[in-house]
Amino acid sequence: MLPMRVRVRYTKGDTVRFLSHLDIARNLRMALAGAKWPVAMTQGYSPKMKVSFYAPLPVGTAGDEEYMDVVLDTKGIADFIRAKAQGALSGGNAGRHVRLAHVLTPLAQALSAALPKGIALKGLYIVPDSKSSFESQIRASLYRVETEEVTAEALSSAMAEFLAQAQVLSELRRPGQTKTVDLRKFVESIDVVPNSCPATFFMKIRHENGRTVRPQWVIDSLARFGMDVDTAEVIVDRIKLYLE
Amino acid sequence: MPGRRQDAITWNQLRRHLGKVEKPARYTGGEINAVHKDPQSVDVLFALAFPDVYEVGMSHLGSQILYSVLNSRPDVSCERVYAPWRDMESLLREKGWPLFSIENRLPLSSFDIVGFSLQYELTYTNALMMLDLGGIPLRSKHRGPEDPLIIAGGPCAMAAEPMADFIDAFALGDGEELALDIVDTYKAWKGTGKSRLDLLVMLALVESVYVPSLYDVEYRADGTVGKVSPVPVKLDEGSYESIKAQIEDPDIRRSCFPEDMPGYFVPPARVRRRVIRSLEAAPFIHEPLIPLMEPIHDRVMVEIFRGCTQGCRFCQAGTIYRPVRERTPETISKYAKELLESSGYDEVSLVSLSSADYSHIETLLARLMADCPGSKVSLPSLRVDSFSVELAKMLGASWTGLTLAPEAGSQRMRNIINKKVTEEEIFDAVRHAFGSGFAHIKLYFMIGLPGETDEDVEAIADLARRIRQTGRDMGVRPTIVVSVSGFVPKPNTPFQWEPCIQREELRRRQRLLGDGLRGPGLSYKYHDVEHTWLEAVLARGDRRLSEALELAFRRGARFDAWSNHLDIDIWEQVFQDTGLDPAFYAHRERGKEEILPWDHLDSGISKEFLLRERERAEKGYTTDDCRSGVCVGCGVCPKLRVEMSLK
Ligand code: SF4
Repeated sequence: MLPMRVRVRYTKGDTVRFLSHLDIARNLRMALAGAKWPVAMTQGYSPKMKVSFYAPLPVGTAGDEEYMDVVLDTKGIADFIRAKAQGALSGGNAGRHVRLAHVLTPLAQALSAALPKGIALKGLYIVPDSKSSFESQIRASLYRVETEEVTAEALSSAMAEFLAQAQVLSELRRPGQTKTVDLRKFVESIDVVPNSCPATFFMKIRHENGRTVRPQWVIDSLARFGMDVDTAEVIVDRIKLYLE
Repeated sequence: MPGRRQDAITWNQLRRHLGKVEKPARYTGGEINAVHKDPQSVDVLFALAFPDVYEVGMSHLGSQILYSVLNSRPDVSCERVYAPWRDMESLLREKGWPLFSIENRLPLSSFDIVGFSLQYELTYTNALMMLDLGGIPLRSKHRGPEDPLIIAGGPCAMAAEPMADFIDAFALGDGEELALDIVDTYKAWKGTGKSRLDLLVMLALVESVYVPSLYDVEYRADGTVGKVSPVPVKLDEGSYESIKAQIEDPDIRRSCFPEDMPGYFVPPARVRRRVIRSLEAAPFIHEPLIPLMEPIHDRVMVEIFRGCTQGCRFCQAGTIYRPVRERTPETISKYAKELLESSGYDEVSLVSLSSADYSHIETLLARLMADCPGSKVSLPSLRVDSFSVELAKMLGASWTGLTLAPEAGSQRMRNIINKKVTEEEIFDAVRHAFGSGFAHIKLYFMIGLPGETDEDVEAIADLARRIRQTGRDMGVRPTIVVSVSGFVPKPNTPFQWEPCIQREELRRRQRLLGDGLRGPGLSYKYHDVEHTWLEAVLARGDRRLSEALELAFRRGARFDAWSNHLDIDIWEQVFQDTGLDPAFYAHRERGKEEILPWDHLDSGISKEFLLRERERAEKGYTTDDCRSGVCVGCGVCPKLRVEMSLK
C-alpha cells in the first residue's frame, strides 16, 4: 500500500513568533508524538519522523498560513482509528477501506489537542506522495508589517522610491561569505495602509526556486531613501502564501 | 505588603523590542502546562527566581516541583523569572523596564515573595542583578513595607552567609513542605498591618527557616568567626502576645520567649534542615512544564530517590540531602508512563545522585521497558562498576557513550576521598563496556584533592591510557575523554576544613596531567582555574563577603559560572578594594576548633562525624555506605528524626 501524505496547515501565532523554525518544527513533532499520529519513520540508526516543512519563518515573524507534510504509516492508521474511534468502524478490513473523513477528523482532533498555545491547526489535506517539492509551488508570500517608528506618509514615499528603482542591491552577510541580492526583483507589490497607526503596510514578496527575501531586508534598505527604521522593532506577520 | 504594583509589561511593548536580543523565546513563556492565574484572585503572589538563564532553570527538577506545589494552592499564584542574558538586561535598562515574570509579565517588585533557588555559588551575582533589575533594594535592611519578602533555598542556603545581607530568609532543606509553611506564615502576616520585623520573627519561628538579620556575627582579630549570636528582638505588646500564642511547642516557647526577657523574641541558636520523611508520599508533578524553545535535555524527569549515603568525602550533595528516601518501582513506573504519554517526549530520565544504588533498579528498568515500549530511559550518575555498565547496556545507551566517575586516579587517593571503587572494578567495568559495544568513554576526575601528590595526578593519565589500551586489546578503537575539575572544599563535608590549592599549583597539576594525556584516542578537558578559585572563596565565606559580591555586581560581574563570562579582573580588584583577602577564604586550612560561618545552620550531620571522616581520610580508611544496613553514625537520622527509607 502507498504511504499516505498529509499536509498540515497551521499558524505560527503572535505569542510564538520568537520561536525559531527549528523550535516550531520540534514542537510540531512532539505534538504529533503526543497525538499518537502513526507517522512513518526513517530507517537507520536513529529513526526520525518523516515530516517536511516549507518556507521557514525566521525568529520574530509570525505566520498565518504555514505547512508541514507528514507521511503516515499506512499500517498504523487502522490502529490509530481503532484507538480513537473505538469501534466506529466495522472490524475486519478497516485497514483497507478507510474513508478519508474517518481518518482526518480524529487525526485533526488529536493533533489540535496536543499543540501548544500559539500553534494552531488550520486544516488537513491528503496530498499525493510525490517527491516534487511543495516548496517549488510557493510563488509568493504576503506580509503585513507594522512599525511605530515612522508615519504612514513617510513610509509611503520611501516605498514609492523603492518601487521606482530598477534594482536595489543589498549585501547579505552570511557566516563566512557575503552575498549580494537584488531586493527589488523579489518585491512584487507594497501597499501602505493610509493613515494607519502604527504605520502598516502589506508587502508581496516572490519566491523563486525556493529563494526569497525577508521584509526586514527591504525595510533595512529604505535607509537609502531617507527612512531609518530599526528592523528589530518592526512587527512582521506572514499572512498568506500564494501557490501555483 | 508590596504596594509598588507597577503595571505588567504588555505583550505589545515587549514584542516590539525582543527582536533585539538573542534567543528571545527565553522571555516569552507559553510552555505547555504553564500556570496563569489572575494575580487579583490569589492571596499570595510568589515569584520563583532562578539566577541563571531560562534553559538552565527549566531543566532544574527542584524548581519544577516547587512551581507545581505552590500552584496547586488556589490561594497562591507562582510565576517564574530567570536571569536575563546580558543583552536583555541592557534592553530592560534602556527601556526603563523592570525585570518581569514569565507568566503575567509582572515586575519582580510586585510580588509578595521572591524565592531564589541557589544551586551554585557562582550564580550569586545574577541573583543580585535580578533584584536590582526587579526594582528591589539589594540589602534586606533597605527594604520597606512595600517590598517583597526575599527568600532563598537550594543547596547553597546551607552555607549562604555571603548572601546573608541580601536575603530576608533562607529555607533550609527539602522545599515541598517548607515552601508552603512560608507561604502560610506570609499569609497570616499579610494584611495585619504589622511590621516587616514581625514577619521576620514569625518566619524565624518556622522550622528550618533562617533569618540572617536576626543573628549577629562577631569576628576575632585573626579574622575568623568569634561568635554567632541570635539577636533578641523587642516586639510591641500586641505582636508579642499574638506571635507567642501561635507557638504550640513548649520548648520553643520557653527558648524563644524567655521569661526573664518579657516582650522579647530570641531566635533559635541553630536552625535545622527540613527533610520530608517519605519521597513516596511527596507531591509529584503530573503536569511538568514543557518549554517551547529547545531545552538542555529533551526529556521528562522522575526522581527515584533522594539523598545519597555513598559517603564520598568531597561531596556536599552526599551529606546535605541525607538520608536516602526511595520511591517504589510501581510508583516510578506509573509516573514515568504518565509523563511520557502526556508530554510527547520519548525519553525519561531517572533522577538521583547515584542511580545504580536504587534498591530495585533492575526490576524498575524491566518494568519501565515493559510499560513504556519505544521510550528511552536514561540513568544519570552511574557508578563505576560492571553492574552499572550492564544497566547502561540494558538501556541501549551504547551509541551515546558511557560516563564514569572514578574521581581519582590512584587507589590511595580514592581511599582518601572514600570513592569505594577498586582498580579491578574499574577494569571490570570498562572491559564490560568495550565488550558491550561502548567505544566512547568519558571519565570524570578531580585534582587538587587533600593529600594529592604528583604521582596521584599522573595516575589519572595512566589510568586513562590503560583503559584505552584495554579497549584496543579487545579490538575496539576507543576514544577516552578525561574531564577534570579542580577540587573545592565544601561546607558540610569532611573536607570542609581543607584549603583549596593555589591557582598556580592547580594550573601546574593541570599541565602535568595534560602532558600524560597526549596521544591518539585520548582527549582532555579541564575546568577553568579561576572558577575553582572563586567558588572556593564564596562557598566557605562569611557575611563580610557581601561587600565584595555587591561591588562585583555593580562593576558588571554576571554569569560567573559560565566559561568565558567570568571576568576575574573584576573580582581581583573588588577583593583589593574591599580589603577582603580571598586567600583567607580559599586557601587557608580551618582549625578544628574554629567556628565555621555555617555552624549555626544544622544539616543534621554531626561535626564529630565529619571530623572522624577527615581523620579516616588521612589514614586512607574507607567508610561504608549505610544503605548496606549498618549505620555509620553521621547523625542525620536521630538528629532530624527521620529514617532511611528503602523500598
Ligand atoms: S544516621 Fe546512619 S542511617 Fe542515617 S543517614 Fe546517617 S549514617 Fe545513614
